[in-house]
Amino acid sequence: MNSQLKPDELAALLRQRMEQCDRAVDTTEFGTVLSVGDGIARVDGLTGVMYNELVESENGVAGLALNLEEDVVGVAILDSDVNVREGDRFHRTGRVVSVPAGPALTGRVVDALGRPLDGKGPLVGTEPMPVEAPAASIIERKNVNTPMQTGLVAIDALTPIGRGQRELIIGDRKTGKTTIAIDTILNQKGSDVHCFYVAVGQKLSTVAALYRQLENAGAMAYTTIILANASEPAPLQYLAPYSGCAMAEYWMNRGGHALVIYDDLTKHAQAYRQMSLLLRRPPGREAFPGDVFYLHSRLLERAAQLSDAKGGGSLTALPIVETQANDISAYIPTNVISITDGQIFLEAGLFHQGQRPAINPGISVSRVGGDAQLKAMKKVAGPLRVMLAQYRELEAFTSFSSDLDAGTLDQLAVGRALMQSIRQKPGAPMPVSHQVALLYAGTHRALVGIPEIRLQEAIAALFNAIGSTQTGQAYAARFAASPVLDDELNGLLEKLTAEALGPFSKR
Amino acid sequence: MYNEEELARPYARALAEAADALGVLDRVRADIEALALQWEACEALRDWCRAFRSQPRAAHKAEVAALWGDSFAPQTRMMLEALAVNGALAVIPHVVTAFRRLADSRQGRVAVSLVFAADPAAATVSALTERAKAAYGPGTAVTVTVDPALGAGLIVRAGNKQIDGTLVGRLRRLRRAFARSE
Repeated sequence: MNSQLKPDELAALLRQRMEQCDRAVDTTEFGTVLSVGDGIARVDGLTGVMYNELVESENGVAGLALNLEEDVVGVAILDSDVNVREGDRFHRTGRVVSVPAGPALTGRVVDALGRPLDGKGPLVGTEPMPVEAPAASIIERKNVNTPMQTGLVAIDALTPIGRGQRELIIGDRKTGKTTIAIDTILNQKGSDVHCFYVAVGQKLSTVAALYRQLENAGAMAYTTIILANASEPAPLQYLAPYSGCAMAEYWMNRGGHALVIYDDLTKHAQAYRQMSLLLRRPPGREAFPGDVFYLHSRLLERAAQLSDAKGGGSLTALPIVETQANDISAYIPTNVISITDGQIFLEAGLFHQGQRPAINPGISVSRVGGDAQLKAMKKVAGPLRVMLAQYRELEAFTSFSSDLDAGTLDQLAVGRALMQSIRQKPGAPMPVSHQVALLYAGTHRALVGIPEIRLQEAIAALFNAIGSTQTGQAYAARFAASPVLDDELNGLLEKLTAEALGPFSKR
Repeated sequence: MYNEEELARPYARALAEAADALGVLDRVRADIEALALQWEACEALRDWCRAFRSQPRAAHKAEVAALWGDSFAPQTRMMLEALAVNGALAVIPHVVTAFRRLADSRQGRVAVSLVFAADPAAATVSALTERAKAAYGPGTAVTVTVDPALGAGLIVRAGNKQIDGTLVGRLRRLRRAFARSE
């Protein structure tokens, strides 16, 4: 509804709406609440109800029909259950749960049903999108071919993400998982990507701080937060990721690009486990129900790069999973690892050593993102993984020995410089041209002679040179025109690194 | 979580299925109605059932036989023995409610209720009752109540279907339609 309507137009619109929906008699099917507790009602009746159909009580409480048993229906109440009493009637609506979607949601904080939580007034001009929808089919998809730059050199170089990909961010608590997701959102500024951050089971204070961070950085201009905090009923926490996905699909289906962050799917699975146990579904491993794999696979399968015939839109998903003591072989982590197209594994040990983002390059992988990586980036980052792996192996070995040959010491020096160079402060995403220059310097040993204490200063000088020196500007212009590492770009990079980093070298 | 209604449902379902399969649903239904009357009328029975604790099986058979004798059909007696063996005699009223629902469903009985916003004319009630009996069978029980909170019109409920022709219902539908449309 347009807020700029004139009174007579508004009156006509209201009259039209009334004519459309006003019927003198309404026929519905209903059921009677037998018992209610912990957000789950058992309802007698509702004989024709569909799975996942929205039902409504007479005082407006919404519920989701989940368990269709022989003589009773298990309804997950999508609100506080204190307003539902034994003997109340739930009516069928004939609709599945849908959420509002569209440009009006940008910059807003909403709950799992799309109701605004930010006090900025009602949402206007939205379109309902079904929360549960089938994923795009094989012929509706095409290969991931466009990079989704995170602005984090460690990720863009080692585990590149493409638009339409599903890349898991996994690690123990307090290892920087959400920081990576937020930096990725910040890096989309100025691009055509609409971002959705789904907070499941998190503290309100954490989400409030995150909202302020995004707003201060101007990122709320293209971001929507879907919040189902820890105090919300389990059915809303269960629904939130699907709601976020539906809102993102609005853009994908229109040829746009969307990024959804599910923070986190461990808590999502726990909310579903709570619901399932209350619905008396048989528990399996770790008390999760048998369909917990399907819970996440049907959500993450909705991420896609659509074919040109379908508009070429994309939906990129970055699910987050929390591990206990780095154990990635637990039930939920193994499930989500097998569903996604790769994982970024964050290690508490690296985090505490000051290596941030604390990505373990050994077990972090991106299965499809390499196809979407820029050619120049692919070329400069190619040897990086091998060099880092060699360094980590040598580092572990040399901790038992002090007598090392010159070759080993040199390899250690290169590795140390590379590890230092991929460190990055939170909230400071790096342009891809800077990343390529840095990686060129790192893999071409330009950082080796620089004392460790001056390394960050040297890197800052390199970035400064890109914007200020003649060579730097020539490099930036050439990179913007064609990001292919040919002889010309190679020459410019060689000159740039020599000019900018030369003064820092002690050789 | 101990829930008497949940506990009672399997007993009611088993009894309804067995009685239906053996073609004695009417007989068992009569037993259940008699049991409901006894429960309602006799405080001593209620106290005894609530205080009842499970003992070896032979003792329970004897106790159930002593209390209800041969007055009930074998299926009803077996159900009461099973309740006694499991120490669940206290859920008898929930078994009665669940059994009625299941038996109604199996016998195609539909309870019809007419809720008017104001005292209806006798002719109106009579006409609607006739229509209900024509639709659901001559044995259909029709209850009539008045609820002034409905504003105007009436609600007809038959089984789990509801036809809402009240002013309040109409306003509620309008409110929801406007709340949904943007």
